Amino acid sequence: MTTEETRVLWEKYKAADRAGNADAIGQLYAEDVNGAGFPFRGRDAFRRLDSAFRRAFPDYQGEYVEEVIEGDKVAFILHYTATHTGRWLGMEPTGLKLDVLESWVFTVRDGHFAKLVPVGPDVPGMVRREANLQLVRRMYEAENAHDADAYGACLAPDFEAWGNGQLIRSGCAAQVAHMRDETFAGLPDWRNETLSLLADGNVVVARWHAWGTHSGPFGAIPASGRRMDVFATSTLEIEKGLIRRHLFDIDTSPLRELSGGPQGGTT
Amino acid sequence: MSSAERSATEMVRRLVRAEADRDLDGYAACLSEDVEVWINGQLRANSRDAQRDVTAATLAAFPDWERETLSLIEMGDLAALRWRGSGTHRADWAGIPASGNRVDFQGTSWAEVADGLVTRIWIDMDMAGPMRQMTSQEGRTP
Repeated sequence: MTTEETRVLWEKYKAADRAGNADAIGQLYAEDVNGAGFPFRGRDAFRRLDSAFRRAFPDYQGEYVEEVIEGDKVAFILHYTATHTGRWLGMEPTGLKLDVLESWVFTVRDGHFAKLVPVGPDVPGMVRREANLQLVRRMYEAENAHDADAYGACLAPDFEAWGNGQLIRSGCAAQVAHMRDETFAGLPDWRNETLSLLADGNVVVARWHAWGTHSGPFGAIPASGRRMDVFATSTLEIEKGLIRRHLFDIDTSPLRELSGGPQGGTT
Repeated sequence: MSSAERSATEMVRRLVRAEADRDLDGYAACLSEDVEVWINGQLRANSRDAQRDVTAATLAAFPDWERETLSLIEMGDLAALRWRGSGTHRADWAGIPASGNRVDFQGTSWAEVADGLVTRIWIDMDMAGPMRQMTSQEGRTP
């Protein structure tokens, strides 16, 4: 390919991109096109990827801020903005507003783009992180609304709760029953305030402060009228958009005090 | 790397390494002068020197203290370290005289970093379990 032939192909690509025409873009890819870091190859797969992105981010606006064309290669820097308003890569819309600067190198073979190499932020990772944060916020909102069903909707069927390194509850149904029958019933004014929240990959970590008045039975502990006040950290592992494991580190001294046990002491 | 560029995870790793090496000066060097350390919602130290003293007392009480990192993640200037640790209770700690018992701890420590130093630490951990282990008549080591 001469530089001029590559430029003609590139101009077609940009025109199709501006028109939002994923099919036209797909026609510019080689049948066996591959992309560095993409777990698939082929024209149809990349066309579907482009289509899915445009459906999920319908307000996508791209601008080619730099481009260099030489021989069979196009190197460019793309700046784009887009809002995640449709389902994408298995993730429900998050409303996340992307403002992304990424670089690409396309290589042409036999009149089509045959190899695509991106360098830039992990956009699926950014969206997944936002989706995971929103899931955890929904769980705490449901907890504060004492809505056991909405709480359960955030959990995987094979959910596990681990407290201080010990498995204490298995299954979404058991956790929902615990929240409804023990926490919400035993501590009717129970409230959980999130103090810090961070996410990385499929893990969200939350530092929280919760309190409530023990005015009903809490499991086997009869009402004491005492206020329970706890600080804790929860590590929430997320699989397929639901919380699969909840590992929390918590001082159990306040719980022991409810039952009239000795205080845990302090450092 | 300048001190201002040190990430939260880098600072947590330095603290863990300094603790493992019993390097109290190295540990203190990671902290801002007015560092705040909160344990289970209560302020336990509010200066570098105070936290150095707390750490020295803990390492004296558990001379064979070992901490294992279970996970470490960060976002922005904040990192969360989930850990478990254990040691033999050889000297007074939290008002409990030496028991000779092996004591297991588990918790999550958060670190907030500014200008390359740890400015705030929050630790959430069970105290009731370790207290029981320290006062138990069983499991005492010679």
